[in-house]
Amino acid sequence: MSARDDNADAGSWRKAYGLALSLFAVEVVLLYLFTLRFS
Amino acid sequence: MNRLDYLVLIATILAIPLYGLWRTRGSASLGQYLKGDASIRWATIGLSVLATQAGPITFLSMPGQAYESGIGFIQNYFGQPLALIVVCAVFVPIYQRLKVYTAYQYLGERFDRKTQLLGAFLFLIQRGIAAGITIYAPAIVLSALLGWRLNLTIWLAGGLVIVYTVIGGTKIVSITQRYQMIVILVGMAIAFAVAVYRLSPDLSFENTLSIAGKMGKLEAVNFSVDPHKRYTFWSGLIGGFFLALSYFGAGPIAGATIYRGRLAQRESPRVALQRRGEGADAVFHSAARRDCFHVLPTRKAADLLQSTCVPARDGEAAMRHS
Repeated sequence: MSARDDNADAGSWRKAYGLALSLFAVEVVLLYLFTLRFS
Repeated sequence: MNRLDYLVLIATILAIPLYGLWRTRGSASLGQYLKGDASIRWATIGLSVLATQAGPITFLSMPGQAYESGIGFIQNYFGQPLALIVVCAVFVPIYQRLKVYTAYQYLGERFDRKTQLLGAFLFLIQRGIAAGITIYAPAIVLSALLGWRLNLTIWLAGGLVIVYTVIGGTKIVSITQRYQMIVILVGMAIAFAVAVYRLSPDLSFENTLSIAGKMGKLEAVNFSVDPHKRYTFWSGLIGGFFLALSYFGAGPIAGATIYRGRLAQRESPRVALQRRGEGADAVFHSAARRDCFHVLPTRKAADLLQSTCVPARDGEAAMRHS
């Protein structure tokens, strides 16, 4: 029971890290498109 | 300045800290004072981290730098998300397991008192100089706006922050930074709208961006591997990663913000219930012991195990039996 909850906790952290990396990737792509458009 | 400007200024400088003092009245233990508590929500912590990063220097110097040499310097921040993930996944759990409040307390337990004091001394020198600039820059603006002597605005800005931080501890910093950040974000949005509104009638917003781009000011991302180029994606990713790792992982002030975020998550009611569960005690403490030995592979590990892990077990056992 406790080990399963611990895994769920670790899973939620992994999701948070994944979300952060995804947002970062989207940010870089958008900035690059902005650079291509206006430079 | 008109009446609305004065209203926003006074609300930001006085009302927000006063509200923070009211919200944190009666805060008791040293742990709560230094780390906040689990009642601080993740959104508050997120805005607090953002406010820590976006100080007055950011708003005063970055537009000037962008105007002067373009916006390429923003690539320096590309390493930050990766560094924060490493801090959350690696650094903070170690601090949390060893029940230390600062990176320097950890250094003291891992090595010795001299190392702890040297690290703390270097940090205080570095942050003391940085805090001087951080207070000086907005004090110049306040002095110009209000027509007061510069010395007075420096003392007022620094004194106010010292008073409410000493009285309210970490929790008040989180609470006040949330509202300060809201004021900053709303102010940025209004400033952007006014700047666009006041563009020359002969120029559209897109034309303005095109002209800035032709002048080389809008190269936000550059994938060049030429080492002579000052700002590139790669230099920002690698250099920014280690800079942010040092700042958030080893700097106690910014690191503490992340720490209390982790703490608030880890000490949620579900985790607390989990700890009370039958068998959780053994799992938790076998992991804690393994990690203690893993990060402290010296004789000190045995002493630290006695002083941190074992009392925690007793405390939890008492909690379970209560």
